Formats: sequence, structure tokens, C-alpha cells
Amino acid sequence: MSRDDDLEYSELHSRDRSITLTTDAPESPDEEGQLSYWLSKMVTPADQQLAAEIDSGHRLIRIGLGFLGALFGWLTIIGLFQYDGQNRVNLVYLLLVLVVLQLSLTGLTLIAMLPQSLTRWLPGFHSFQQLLRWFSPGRLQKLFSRFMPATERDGILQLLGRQQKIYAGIGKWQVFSWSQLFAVAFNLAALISVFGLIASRDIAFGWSSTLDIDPDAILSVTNMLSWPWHAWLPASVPDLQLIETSQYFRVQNTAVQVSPEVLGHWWPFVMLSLLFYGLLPRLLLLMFCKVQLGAAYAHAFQHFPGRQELLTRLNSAVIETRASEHESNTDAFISASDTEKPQRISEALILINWAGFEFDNTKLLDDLMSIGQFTKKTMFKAGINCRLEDDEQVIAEISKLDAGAPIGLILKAWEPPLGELADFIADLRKIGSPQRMIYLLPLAIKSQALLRVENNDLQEWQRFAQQLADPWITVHTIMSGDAA
Amino acid sequence: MSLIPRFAVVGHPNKGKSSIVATLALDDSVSVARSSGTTRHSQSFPMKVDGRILYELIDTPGFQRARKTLAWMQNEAEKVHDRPEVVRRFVDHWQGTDQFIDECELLKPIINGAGIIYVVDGSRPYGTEYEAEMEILRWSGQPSMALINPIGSDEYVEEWRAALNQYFRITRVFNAMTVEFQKRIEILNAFGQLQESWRQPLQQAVGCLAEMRKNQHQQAAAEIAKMVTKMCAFKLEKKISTEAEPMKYQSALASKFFNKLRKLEAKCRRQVQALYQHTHLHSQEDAIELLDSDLFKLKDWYLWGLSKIQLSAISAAAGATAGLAVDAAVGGASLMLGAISGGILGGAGSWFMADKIARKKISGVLPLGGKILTFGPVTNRNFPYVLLGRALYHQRLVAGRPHAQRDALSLKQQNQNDWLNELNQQQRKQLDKLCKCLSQAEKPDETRENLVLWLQKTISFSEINRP
Repeated sequence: MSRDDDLEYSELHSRDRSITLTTDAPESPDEEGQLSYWLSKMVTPADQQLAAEIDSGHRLIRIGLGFLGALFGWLTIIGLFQYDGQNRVNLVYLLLVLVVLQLSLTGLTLIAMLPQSLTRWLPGFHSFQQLLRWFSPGRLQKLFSRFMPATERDGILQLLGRQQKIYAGIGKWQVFSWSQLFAVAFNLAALISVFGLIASRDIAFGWSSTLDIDPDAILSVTNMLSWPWHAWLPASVPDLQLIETSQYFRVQNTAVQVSPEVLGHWWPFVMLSLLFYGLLPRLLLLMFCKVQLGAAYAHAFQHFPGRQELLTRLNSAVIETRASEHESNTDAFISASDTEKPQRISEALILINWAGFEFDNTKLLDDLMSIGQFTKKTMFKAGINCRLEDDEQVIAEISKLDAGAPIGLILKAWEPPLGELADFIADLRKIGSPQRMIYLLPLAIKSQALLRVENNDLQEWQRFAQQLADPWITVHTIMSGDAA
Repeated sequence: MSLIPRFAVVGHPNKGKSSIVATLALDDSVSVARSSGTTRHSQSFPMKVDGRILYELIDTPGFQRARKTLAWMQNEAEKVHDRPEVVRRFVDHWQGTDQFIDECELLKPIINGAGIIYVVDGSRPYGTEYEAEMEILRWSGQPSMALINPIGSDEYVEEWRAALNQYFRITRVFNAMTVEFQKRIEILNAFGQLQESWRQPLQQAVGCLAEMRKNQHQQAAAEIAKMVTKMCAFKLEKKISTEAEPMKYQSALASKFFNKLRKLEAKCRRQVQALYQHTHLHSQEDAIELLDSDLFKLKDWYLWGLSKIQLSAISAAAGATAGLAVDAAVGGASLMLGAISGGILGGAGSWFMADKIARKKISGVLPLGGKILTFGPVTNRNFPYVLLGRALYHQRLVAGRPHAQRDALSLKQQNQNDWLNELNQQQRKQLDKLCKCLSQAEKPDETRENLVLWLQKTISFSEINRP
């Protein structure tokens, strides 16, 4: 979705909605189904390749950790079972490392796994958890990422960097899964190694301590440890006699002389302790981590930023209201020259009232001629409020007059020039001299009074005059503002 | 009769037909000019829902020779019931010639079944020259309504209404430059009343447009929340060597920081404008203020960008691992002393050696440590309020702006805190909480999600209570 950042909403909406409307889209799917289908349509070959590379990276990590765990397990057992045929393998060591240490580490792992929402309420747990995080291998991600191929690194860091909170759960359970895998491999290798050693050598187990420990105390510990299997494997539970006979002291002469095969009877207890307190808890934790990892992926899928917006895009209709093509307007801008002082028109004008103004009040006409600096020869009515026949009649009348006499067309300044007026002017041009001046007189009249013509209206008339492409036609500006 | 409702917007030239179409079609790229004759050809604006057309608006050129057209038709018509056929004959007769080009263009959709939306300017007086146009439209026999578009003032609206009522069953006032979204919806509903079969698709269209509006608000809220969260948490870092003078980089870093913030805001503006289909909008506004004067910080870094504590922790872990191997090798006889001492040695060593490491370079080129200059983030408590105030003001203007308007969008606010006073107590309380989280960069994802919800509510509230 980060690729969509620079796309406009309309593009995204069209793209995503078209996925919903494709014929092979699932019918009435739930939100997850819809998002999965969307994702399947959006995945590019580059994404698939990246996913495949990340998968193979994960596989490599799993194999590496499994191998390392097994190696450590084997080495640990080799170390603990150092037996030269004379000294016995001290069970205290074995129990400390294989049971106590393992259980402690499992406990620490469990504390580290606890959700923050819970540890916040347990005194000291939160700080302890924070302390454990310093030792989490997850903290080395930045360091490891330096050695990753650029494409994988960028892909992963982009996810982790931008959506840290969303992917934090995945990161956490991924690291835990890997560490549990390591621990399982460790315990499995340890178990196999112990079995191998026991099968291939004659190992004498014993216990010894500087502390004054009573064999009864050891018995209560072994009974406690054997509790999980004592019911179905009672023979593997050490009895008091075995414990007493297995005790040895550093000073040789105080050692109890026992048959060597008796000292080997500890092996089922050792192996079952390793199985129940090493391997099984780690196996359970590994399964738990896998389940949590799956849940974290599902959570991330349900809460990724932009999910709601995406669902809206998938489920809301694309509405288009615009035209697919637009007309271009290339008309040149005409600047109005209303401030220009009009020249006095020397000859009397043949006036044509094209606007349909009522000039009953002679004062209005007088004002117009005074301000417009022209005089009237005669006046006709055409255009608005007249029939086409009237227009033709006016043309006929004017053709009888002086062929060079200038014409003044009285117009409504606020109405746009129409084709009909252009046709009439063309008819006028057909009669009389081609150099006869035709003045366009756009007027703004309200309640029988002349008003100043608005700039925009004047521009409109000037543009019209220019489009007629006739040098003998001009807009004669009436400086009506002075009179208003 | 066409199945899809089609509406030809007709009238005198330069009376705002294109403005009305631009506003109703939410299209700010329609040529809208004060000069007449801007539209030379009919242009279709289909309203499509998932590609299916619900209705179609057709912008047409204005009447140029109405008297002559009517005269031709009157000459041709013998009986009243011939009139629609005469209008059709007129188009057939003159189409393709160099005469009556505009009339043919505007009458063509009407004879093909389009309803008539006749547009006049309510700021200019009524004139008898309009009667020929209205008569021609009446002759077509198509359902029709009149819109009075008061361009500038409504001085002559009543005069027009009286005249139009004689020719049209429905007359409405519709100012394409100032009309709100709700009024646009009402007009579309009125179009549906022209003919029974058009009512249902128009109602459906109105429902879709209302849904689209809601989505636009939701998406705008998401964009604004994204921008505000990003800007509040934004900081710039620059690594320099231990010998370099940090102050030398300060002004360049500050300028880069400021530019980036401006770009983030501009990007959000563009996205919001695009959401509301204003793609040709220009705006004027003052640049954002950062409010904090001291945004410049300096800290040390070591290997691969790790801090001193991180470096020590990793070294301790490495030492402990090595020690553990020793413990294993001696069969646990060391009682984990190897791991403990290895950890202590590793951690302490890297703590004391970190500064020396920083001055080293791998192969003399790649530095192993240095200083980090940081600029930002802006932690002033007022910064989120300023960002939100600016973004909401912009969103409000854009959402309410009709698509016929062509002037630049002025975003200069007289009083930048007015928007806060319009919020109710609950909205204000939620906002204060969100702004606190934003300025302290707390839980960014959660804050953003909550901010989206808050913005959605506020935008809807503002739409309903728009003055």
C-alpha cells in the first residue's frame, strides 16, 4: 500500500473498485476474503519474488538455528558427561543444568512473552521484562539488516519502520519462535546425546555435595521431579536405596562400595527429566509461539493502516460526473478601453434602436447624444420587439439615404451580442458605401436614466466588433458614468 | 423517449449555462467565462455509477438567431400538434449547413428526448427577446424547467420568475457560484420531477452523490490525520564526523525541515482538493509557523548507528555468549562464571572504548561513529492545533466550493482560533487529548486512528451546521 501514497484518490478508487467488480471476484465475501482477493490481484511479480526470497531467508534461519541448537546441545552433554571411568557423573550438575537452568530460562522466556498490558500491573515485572529485552536477539535486526541484500532489507525495513506497531507482534513472536526452535533443537540433541552415551558407555551416576544434604531430601526432590511419570513408569523413580548407594565423597576411603550396574540405574530418571523439563516445555512453547505468530499476522492484516479506507474504496461505487473531453477556449483576452475619451462624431448618425429601448422621454435621447457627442439624422427601430420584416424594411429605408452617412446601432450593453445582430450588420454592409462608419452604441439604461456600462459588458462588445473584422465598425463608448 | 434521463442546459449566451453544468457535474475544468459564445458544441456530462449512466447533463451553445428560427418554424407548422415534428425538421434541414449552427447544436439533444433546463441571469432585467427562445423550447414538447442563475445580484429574480412561470412548470433560483451541496441535490431531485420515468434514476443518483459526499469527508479526514501525525512526529537527522562543526549545518537542516513540512501540507491539500474533484484550484495562504524556536539537537552515534548503551548491551551479549561456550566446554564446572564475566568484560569494554571507535574509519573511509544532528520534531503543544485548524479550514472551503468558481482559493484566516470556538465541549475535550498525544508523539498509530474518527465527526458536524 505504500506504493499508493502518490496516487490520487480517484485513481485508487477506480482501480480498487474495478477489482471488486471483476467477474471472478468472490460473491458476497467477508472483509478478510475481500482483502485477500484484492491482495491477490495487486501482487506483482517483484512482490512474489521478494516474498520467495524472504521465505528462503526464513528457511535458512530455521536450519541455521536448528543446527546451532543441536550443536550446543551435543557440546553441553559432552561437557556434563565427562566421565573417565573412575569418577562418577555428578547428578547435581546434571539436574542443575538440565532441569534447574532450563526451567529458569523457560521461566524467563515466559516472563518476556507476557503482554505489556499485564506486566504493567505486576510490580517489578515490567522493568524486568524491559531488562530481558536488552538481551533479545531481535535487537540485532538493525545489525543483521546491514548484511542483507538491498531489496530484502528495504522491503523489511520499510514494513518495520513505517508500521512498527502493527508488525511489532509479528516481530516479537517470530523471534520467540526462532528461539524456541533453537531450544527444541538443543534439547532434542541433548536427549539423543544422552541416549547415545548411555547406550555406548557404561556410565556411573552419583551425587555429591559439600553441603550436608540428607538422602531423604534428595529423595523428596527426585520424587517431586518424577511426579509427571511416576504413575506409568514407576521403575524410573529413584528409591532411597539407590540414592543412598549413589552418594560418593571426595575422599576415596569413605566411599560406599556398590555394584557398578546399580549406579547406572539413574539413566531413565535423567532422560525423563530432560524430556519433561527440557524438551516438552520448549515444544509446547514452540507450538504456542507458532499459534501466536499466526494470530499476529492475522492481527496485522486486520489492523494495517489504510484498511478501512481500502474497504471503503472496494465497497463504494465509483461515481463519475465529469465530461471525458473538454472544449478549449482560445479567445484572446480583450482589454476594455473605457477610460479612453471618445472622439466627437462629426456627421449626424442614422440611429437604429436595436435594443428596443423606449425613447418616449426626449430628455433621455438628448442626454445620450450630448454624452455620446453625436447628433441624430434619423432613427429607426429594428431587432428586439420587431419582426424580421421590420428589420428588412429598415434596411430598405436606409438604402434610400446618403450612402456614406454613418450609422449608430443602439444596443443593450448587458445582453451579449448575438448572431442575429451580426446578420443585420452584414445586411447593412450590403447597402451604401463599404467605408460607411457603423458605431456600436452599447447602453446601460435603467428607469429612463443612462448608467455607466460595466467593464465586462464593454469588453464583450469590443470582442464582437473585433470578430466582425471590419475596420469601419467600432464600439463608441458612452461615458455614461458622468451622467448617472 | 430515451431511457436514461438526459437534460439539455439551454438559454441565451453568457447566462451561466456552463457554470450550472460545472457545479452540477462537479467539474472544475469546464470553460466558464464572462465572454459569450464560450461553448460552441454540445458537451455531455454523464453521471456514472460503476460505469452505468444514471443521468446525463448536456451543456449547449446559446441561442444566436432565435427570432429567425421561430419564424422558420412558424412558416413550416400548420397545426399545433405538428410543432415537435417541425423542430425536428428544422434540425434535419439546417444541420451540416453554415447557418443556424448553434440552434441545431442545442436543439439536437432535445429532439432526441432530453429534458430542458432553461437558464437565465437573475441579475439582468427580463427582455422580450427571450420569448422567441422560450417559444421554440415549448414547441419541442419536451419536459422543461427554468433556472434563474443570479450572477452577481438577485435584483431581477422576481421579474424573471413572473415571466418564466408562463412558459415553465417549475422555476427555481440556482446560483451556480455560491450554491451548497444540499441545494445541488435538491435541484437534481427537481429534474426528476419533470417526468415520472426519470424520478427513480434521479433519486438513485442523488443517493449515490450523498454517499460519495460522505466518502469524500471520510477520506479527507484520513488524509488530514495522516498529514498531522506525520508532521508532528517529523524530524531530520544528519550524521557528521566528530571533528565537524555542528552549527555549520544548522541553517541548511532547518530550511530542509521547513520545506519538508510545507511539502507534506501541500500534498495533503492536493489530495483533499482531488477528493472533492477540484483539480484546477489555486490557493493563496501564509506559510506555516513552527512555533518552537529550539528544534536543534546534537547526540553521539557509534557503530552502525547504535547509541552508546545499545553498543554496550550488544557487546555484553556477545561476551556472555563467548563465556557460555567456555562454560559448556568445561562441563558447567565454571558455574556460569564464563558467561557472566564475558558479558561484563564485553559491555564495559565497549562502553569505555566507544569514543575511540567513533573516531576510527573502516579502511579509512567508512566512519565507525560520529555525531547526529537532529532538527525537530516540533513539540509545542499548539502545533497540532495550528495544523488541524489550517487543514480543516482548507477542507471546509474546498468542500463547499462550487466547481464553477474560478478565482483563487483564499486561505488567509482573520482569526485562526475561530474553529475552536465552534466545537462543542465534548469535541474540544477529545481534541485536547489528541493534541497532547500528537505533541508528545505518543502511540502514533492509535492517535492517528482516533484523530480520523474525531475529524470525521467534526467534518460531518461542520457540514450540517454550515452557516
